[in-house]
Amino acid sequence: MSAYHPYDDTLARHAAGRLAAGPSFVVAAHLATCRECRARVTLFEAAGGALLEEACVLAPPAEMFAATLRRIEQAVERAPRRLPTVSPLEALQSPPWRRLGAGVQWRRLSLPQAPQAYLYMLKVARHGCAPRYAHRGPAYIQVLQGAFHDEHGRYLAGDCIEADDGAAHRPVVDSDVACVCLAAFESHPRLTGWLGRWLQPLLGL
Amino acid sequence: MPRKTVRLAPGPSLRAVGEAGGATGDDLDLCMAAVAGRADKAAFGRLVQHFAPRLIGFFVERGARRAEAETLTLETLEALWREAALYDPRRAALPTFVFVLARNLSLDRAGNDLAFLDAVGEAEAAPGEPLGPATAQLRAALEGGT
Ligand SMILES: [Zn+2]
Repeated sequence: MSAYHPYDDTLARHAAGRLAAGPSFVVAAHLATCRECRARVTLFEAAGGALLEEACVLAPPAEMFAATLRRIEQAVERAPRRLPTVSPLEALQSPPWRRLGAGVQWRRLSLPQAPQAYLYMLKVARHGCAPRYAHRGPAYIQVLQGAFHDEHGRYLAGDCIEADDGAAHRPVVDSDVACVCLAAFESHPRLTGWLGRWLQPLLGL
Repeated sequence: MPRKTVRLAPGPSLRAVGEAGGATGDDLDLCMAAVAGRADKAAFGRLVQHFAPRLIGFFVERGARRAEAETLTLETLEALWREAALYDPRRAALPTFVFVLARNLSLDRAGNDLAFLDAVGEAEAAPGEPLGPATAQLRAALEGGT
């Protein structure tokens, strides 16, 4: 059971297909383990079905059915588009881990449909401190393994944290195992502190 | 974050279909089975008759130009044909299934090859509370842009 969930409006945007690819991927990782949020997304999708039924009825062109049949007959195998469902994460063609100071590793994930997304996996060793960082715009973080705390609370595997604009964070891992998180940002995250400022250009983070 | 548990109500919108569209939800479900089972084009025709005008209306209401709405409708109907076998009326009502197909078209066009399950297929449907507040929230999300 997760204690922290994406905001309800975030789930609605996910169901509406209006969440950016990176955040949508993090939400999908949360849905993989949170039955409660899956039920919410299902409800929003049902609401979408109801909106479709209530939509104003506009007569299609006379040849709509014929055009559809033609399309079907000509269709080469088109890969169906889906919201991401993450299972298992390792199925992602992941670049190797890169080191970021003692006990901290990261890698940037590349989504085929959105290679520019600011989507990262972060692995912090037991008792390790992740580098201090700041971000503009919201951040979406799903804890996949282990636990950490920051100024605001303690987060366990399965929790999804949405951090608002401009927040600065200093996460500290306090689980017996390394803490692995998935994090998406809507803009480039910045490492802060003298070490971070020095590392950032070297790492191309 | 505390949250009230809300359950999916698969039924009511389909019952309304019976009065407005001349086809009941059960009829349309039979058409889906015929499309999935034996590629029945006549049955598909009835589905197109029901959903094409609503899809065009749905896209136009969300700001699509008429030609764009017709193209998206065509693509959604093609997906309906192609994915008919995935439809399970015990999990979600047909309009919900069609909405999800239309929604997925709005995701990036490049397609993707991650390990996917179907979001609708994954969820457990249970009859219960009405959709009311969720509808308002979803409408806002649809109109909020990315
Ligand atoms: Zn949740």
